[in-house]
Amino acid sequence: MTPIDSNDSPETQRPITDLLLDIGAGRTEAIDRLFPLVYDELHRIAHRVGSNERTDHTLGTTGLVHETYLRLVDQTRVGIQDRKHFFSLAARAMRHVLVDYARRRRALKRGGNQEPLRLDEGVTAIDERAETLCALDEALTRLAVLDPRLAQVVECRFFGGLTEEETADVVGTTSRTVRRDWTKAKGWLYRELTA
Amino acid sequence: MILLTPEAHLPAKSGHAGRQSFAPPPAGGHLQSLHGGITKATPSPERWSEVERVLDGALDLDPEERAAFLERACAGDPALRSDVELLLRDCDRTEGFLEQPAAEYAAPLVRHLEEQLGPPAGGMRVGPYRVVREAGHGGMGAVYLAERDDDQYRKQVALKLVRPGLALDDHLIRRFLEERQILASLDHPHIARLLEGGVTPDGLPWFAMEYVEGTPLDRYADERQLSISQRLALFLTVCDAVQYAHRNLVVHRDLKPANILVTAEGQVKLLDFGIAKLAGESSVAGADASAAARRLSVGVRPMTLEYASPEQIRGEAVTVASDVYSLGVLLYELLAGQRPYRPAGHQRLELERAILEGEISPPSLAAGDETRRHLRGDLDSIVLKALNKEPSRRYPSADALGEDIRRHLACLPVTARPNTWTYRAGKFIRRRRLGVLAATAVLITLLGGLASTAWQARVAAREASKEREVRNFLVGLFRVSDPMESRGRDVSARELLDRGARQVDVGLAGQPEVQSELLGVLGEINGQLGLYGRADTLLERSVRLSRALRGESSAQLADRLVEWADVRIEQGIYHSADSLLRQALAIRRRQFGPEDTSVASTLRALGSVERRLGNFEPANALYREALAIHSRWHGGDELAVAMDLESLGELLDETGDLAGADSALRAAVGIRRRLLDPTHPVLMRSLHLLAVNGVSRGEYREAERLEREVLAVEQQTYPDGHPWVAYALHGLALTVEAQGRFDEAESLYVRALEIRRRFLPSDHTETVSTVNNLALVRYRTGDLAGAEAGLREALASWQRTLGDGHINTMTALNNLGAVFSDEGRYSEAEPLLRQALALRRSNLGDSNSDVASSLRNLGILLHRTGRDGESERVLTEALAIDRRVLPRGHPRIAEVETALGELLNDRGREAQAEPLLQEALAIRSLKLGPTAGATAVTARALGVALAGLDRPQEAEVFLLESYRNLNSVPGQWGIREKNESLRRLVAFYSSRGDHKEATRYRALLASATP
Repeated sequence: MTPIDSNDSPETQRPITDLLLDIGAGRTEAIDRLFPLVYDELHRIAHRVGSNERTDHTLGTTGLVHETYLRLVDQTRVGIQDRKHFFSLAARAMRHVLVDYARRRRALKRGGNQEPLRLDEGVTAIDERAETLCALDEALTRLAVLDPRLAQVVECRFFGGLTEEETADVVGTTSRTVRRDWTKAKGWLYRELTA
Repeated sequence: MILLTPEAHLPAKSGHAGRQSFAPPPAGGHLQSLHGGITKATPSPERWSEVERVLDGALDLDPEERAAFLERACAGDPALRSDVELLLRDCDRTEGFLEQPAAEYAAPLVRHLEEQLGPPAGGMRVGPYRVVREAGHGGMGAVYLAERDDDQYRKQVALKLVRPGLALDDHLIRRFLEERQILASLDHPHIARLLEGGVTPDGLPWFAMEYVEGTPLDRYADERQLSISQRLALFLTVCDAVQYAHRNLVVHRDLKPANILVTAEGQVKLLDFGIAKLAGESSVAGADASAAARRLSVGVRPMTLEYASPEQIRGEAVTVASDVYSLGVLLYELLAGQRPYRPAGHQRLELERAILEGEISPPSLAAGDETRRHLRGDLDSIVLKALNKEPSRRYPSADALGEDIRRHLACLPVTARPNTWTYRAGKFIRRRRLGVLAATAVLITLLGGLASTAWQARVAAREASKEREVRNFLVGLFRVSDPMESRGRDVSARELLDRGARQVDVGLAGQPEVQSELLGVLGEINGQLGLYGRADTLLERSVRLSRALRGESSAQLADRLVEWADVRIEQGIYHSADSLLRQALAIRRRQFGPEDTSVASTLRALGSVERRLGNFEPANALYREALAIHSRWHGGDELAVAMDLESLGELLDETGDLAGADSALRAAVGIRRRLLDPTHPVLMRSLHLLAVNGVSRGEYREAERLEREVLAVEQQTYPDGHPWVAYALHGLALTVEAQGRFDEAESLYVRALEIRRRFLPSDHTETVSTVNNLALVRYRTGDLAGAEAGLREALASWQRTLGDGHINTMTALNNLGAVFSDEGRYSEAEPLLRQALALRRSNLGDSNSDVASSLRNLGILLHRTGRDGESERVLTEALAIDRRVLPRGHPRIAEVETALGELLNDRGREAQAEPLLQEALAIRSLKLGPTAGATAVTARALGVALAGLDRPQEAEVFLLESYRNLNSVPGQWGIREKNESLRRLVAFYSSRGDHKEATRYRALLASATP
């Protein structure tokens, strides 16, 4: 993998790793502090990738969260538990990053953007995706009220790109349960989006 | 049917079922239908777990077995079954749904947006400008260097535009426009100016600012190796700029060296109001209400931690005090060469903790050896005050901070230091010689923390004369008592004064001019300490001497005359004071011209005398003239302006313009809080007056709070008593009394009176005032003899010293009449009340609440003596006046309404009474409390009205409540009113035929003390 930017010096890693360890030690306020940093990083990646056509690194790689993990966290200091926390956070951050883009698109369209309405396929597909992402995000928020675990599974699998095993780790259950959860959640979401 | 393939895209809600998702929907229709699907009611979590349980079971089975299972599991709950079935169906369908990772799915979206709205590359055009390159990062995104694309001239600007790469759009754009708007409103040489702004073709706003090329403040100072004074000078310009912004209601919130550049020409420029906020709004940079949103706005860079105030870190309200804090950090750095917090690690968390809780070591300790000496003392204190963790303990404004630095540079005492002997003495020694009166000014300030500004003002206008003699004299005095034992201030002060007076006679016999001056000084000091007898004697001698030496027109004579008049005023001998002041005024106008500050202060003093004499119009004019002069003088002598405002406020309060008084007094307090020590007596007086006004406006609790603050300070300064302590006690008693706490009020008045009798002559208006108030409180608590005696004393004294036309005399008449009336001594009461009313009408006009008060008392008397018709007329007029003159919800309005309501009840017009009593009850419940005696009286009247209107259930509630609350009110008044309640209850139950209850209450009535 080609590194996107060389932001993985021990200098930047240190505070993030410390915060991660803090979370592991039970200091939940560190979550609030770590989240923005992870968000920033993911956003930076999206930004670079998105604005540079000629990159051999596409946004769609499911390894994005893993890659970020490797870059931001000092592996020698953390354990499996900590990795779990990071993934959970990163999945959520990824969700925010993407939904932000979607909302921005919506806002631009609504907010007096001078762009003429084109019937060009490419453009409307983008609008469609933006809309869908927003709807999904909102539905997911509602699902979280009903059943937080299902929502987290979706966040990990869909937004975070984590595997079933990794998701099971984060959520604290078995792969089998994750699979079942995934089915139920998808059913529910589908229903919400099409009703 | 929606097609699902392994790379399936998410379902498109186009309403065109059966078509591929990429088919172009009608413009807009697509969006609407999706939105439509969103607003649905979600089932509750309990319901959901039921559903889920069954669903789990069903999913485990093969499709054929499911029907039977569902039959069993959902027996009796068809809704449950249908829910589960629908979900089952969807679960089966969703093979490809969400299988493509979100990042992939969103990729085209992201790419498009980044492409379209990516950061400006060099050469990109924005409005009339062309982007050259990125020039740095601000609080909210990048700043670009751009050039104007004209042939004529290539002006360079700093360009800011909304660029993605940060969070929510709407939010971002709004913040951006706010910054633009803020900059547009600021026009100051030391703030980077907004040049123009516009909107890009994409619909995103941009603006161009003055491009500032310069070095951050700290580096600039270091590179040029600036001295402490030079650094302070630079810092002062920053304070000016920040103050200007504050005055335009903008809090910067991100002050740091990087945002304060110094150009090559040495000009300071304040930059980047990117996370600035309009004052009055709370919240940290870019935060919305929800924590989630706050996390999202993370792209807005959080304020630089090193310069952030504790409240900013905690996410609390950010105010001008936060900017003051940041300025403090900046100042610390400039002076000491390093920042106040340097935690061991470089963790953000550690730094936060240090800022919130850690102790700061003074800059002098942190600095290098060369500068340490300069920093120790004043500058240390100034910096630490600005860095106080409590926002309210810092300087109230950037101006105040700058002011203190300027005072330090001028070798004047700074407000950040405590007010001790040694400090002020030391200051004096360093100050430049300012003449005779400077020496005497020191004496005064050393002996009691008295306002020395007036002195300094005069000093500045004088030439030095006899300086050496006076200084030697004073030094001689000081040598006798060790300046180090500064604790027992008053005692050593008196000793000094006695010694001083003796020595003036003996030691300066051959120098009459010096004698005259010093007599004046000593006289004034005695006056300030409340020793009026001594003061009078000294001053009279001083005037005589001055006349003999310099004739009738000398400026020194004018000074002595004014000093003497001051004491006369305190003694209550107003006419004499009036004449002395007019003499002084004439001299000063002749010697210094009509615009001189000494003329202004004489005008003010004269105004005060006129006020005390009850001549309000002339007083008003005099105060305003003084205010005008002071405002115009050399850019404004603020403390003098404050004094004028206060005098005006007092006057307005007395004449009934309560709102006007409130504004004037608040303005005075504002100036004084800014410029004076928080325990300064002059500030205390201001607060007291504000409290008094608060009482007049009915804001009792606020007033009480203020008075307690004043009292605490005065008691600490004068533990043995002083007229000012009495002032505060009396003021506090007023507020407490107004809330119905009579016993507490009585003991406070007693204490105040004791002090006043000790210090003041017996007819002094303040003493009599306390006598009057104490009498009234005694009446409330049932000490009728004490009440009557006190009121007679007050009335006699005021008639003697002030005449009939004075407000106080009228008050005394009114009070005595009201007390007699309440006791049933109507024939004695009526003439007094009528006289009071007549006097008030003729002296105050028809739009005054005091007139209404008299009318009310008279109205009640008339009611009680059976003259209902006249009573109604009178009470109606009273109510009309109070409604016109007082603010809504004022307790006096409730008083009149209650009286009128009771009358109307007795006249059988309960329908008219009810609305009045409802309003009165609401006011009294709020202002006096729901269980206060007065409130209960109103409740009772309302109960009577409701009974008369045939609403017995409501009536009963009020009558019972009234009785219950009055039952616990002590004293004669309480007993009387309670019995009245009982009477009404008896009447009520009898009329309803409930003889059991009627008998019960009749029995209670019989056993109660008549």
